[in-house]
Amino acid sequence: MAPNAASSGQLLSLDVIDGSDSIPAAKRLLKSRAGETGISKWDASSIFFEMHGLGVDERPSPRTLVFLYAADMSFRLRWEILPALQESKCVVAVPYIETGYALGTIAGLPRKWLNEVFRFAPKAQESYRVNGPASVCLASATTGFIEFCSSMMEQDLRPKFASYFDDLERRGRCRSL
Amino acid sequence: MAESPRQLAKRLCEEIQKKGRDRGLLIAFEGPDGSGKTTQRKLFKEWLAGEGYDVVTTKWSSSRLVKPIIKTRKNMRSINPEEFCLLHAADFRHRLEHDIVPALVKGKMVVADRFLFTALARDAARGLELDWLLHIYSPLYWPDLVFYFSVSPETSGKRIAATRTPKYYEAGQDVTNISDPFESYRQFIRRVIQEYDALAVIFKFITIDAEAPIYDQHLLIRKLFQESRERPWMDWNEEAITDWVNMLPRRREVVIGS
Repeated sequence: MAPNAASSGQLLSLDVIDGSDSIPAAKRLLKSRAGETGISKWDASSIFFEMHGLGVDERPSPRTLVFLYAADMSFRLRWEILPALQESKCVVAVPYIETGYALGTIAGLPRKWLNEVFRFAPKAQESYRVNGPASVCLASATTGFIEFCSSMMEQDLRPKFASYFDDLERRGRCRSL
Repeated sequence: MAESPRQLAKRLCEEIQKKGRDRGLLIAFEGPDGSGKTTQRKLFKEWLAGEGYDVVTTKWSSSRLVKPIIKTRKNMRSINPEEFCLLHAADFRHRLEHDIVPALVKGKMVVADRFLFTALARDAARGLELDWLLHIYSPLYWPDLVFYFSVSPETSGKRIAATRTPKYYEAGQDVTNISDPFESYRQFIRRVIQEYDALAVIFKFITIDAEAPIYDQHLLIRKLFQESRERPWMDWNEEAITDWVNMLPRRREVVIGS
């Protein structure tokens, strides 16, 4: 199921709390890397942007949101991440699967189920998170996945995501950028 | 003290069980394209309504939230088997949570024009692992009855060709790489039917000969339905009810229909 990521490229994962941090943080991360680089950003498939524009008065559950996140992730892997790795580039996936796991964990979804949903995604060689105070105001739903989820679930989920990444960092599973 | 989601789910399940033969059933109509299941579903729904049942119909890939997303991508031919699967899983989950489970909890009859098994058959025919598919679709509310409209690949192909050109994903052109939609459909539907036939054995579908006269099929379905009214509530659905309660906190104020 998991695609063969074996190549001379390098996959770096970067999870952010504020969607607007994605590109600046990814650029910061790539600054010290030699050779060709690339960035794969959330919602490259435009699923969430389109859904936001539908104006349907029904909220997706966290489980549905995880499926949609995984579909977007699959799209990004196919069109952006894996081709770049094949070309030996250093790619930052911002965000990557940990953000999907974070939503699932916050919502109480079983880890085993999350492992299955994201089974297709190769593991990143290095993992980072942006650690710092979030903006005072929550940005619009299309700024990032956490903003989208917060909008759908009608609560600011940023502190919960931050706490999840704090825990990940404490366990040595990612580093602060 | 407020009732926890698990306690609420348990109470809901007990309430449903108490209804006995008056509880709502989930009845799935499954089968390949061109098997005539939609015709049978419509006849059955009309008959059920005439018998006084409160009936809700749910169709495959029809959620208000995810359907437009899938439709655009199908038109653009831009999704691979994995994305196809994940998007349909999202659509299914949304309908399960918003339409199917709430109706069942209220004691309504739910007639599903395609259910989980459509995803299993089509996605497995696209090369995805059945085991993975079952995992990602869990927890599931299992249907009380699954009518499987069995038809040969030749009949399915003929019936479809008589009315229209099969669409790109319907014909499986994304996996066969055959440019002729009719030829691609012929090959792809064979795989889908193989998967369905295997699922029919594993999950004990009620197989209907979809090449028999339409009214004969309808009478048989009525008879089989009436025989199954005593079907007991399945305990493993409790997991799906618990998940539903957990996923949609605002629905905790649910009231069981009388």
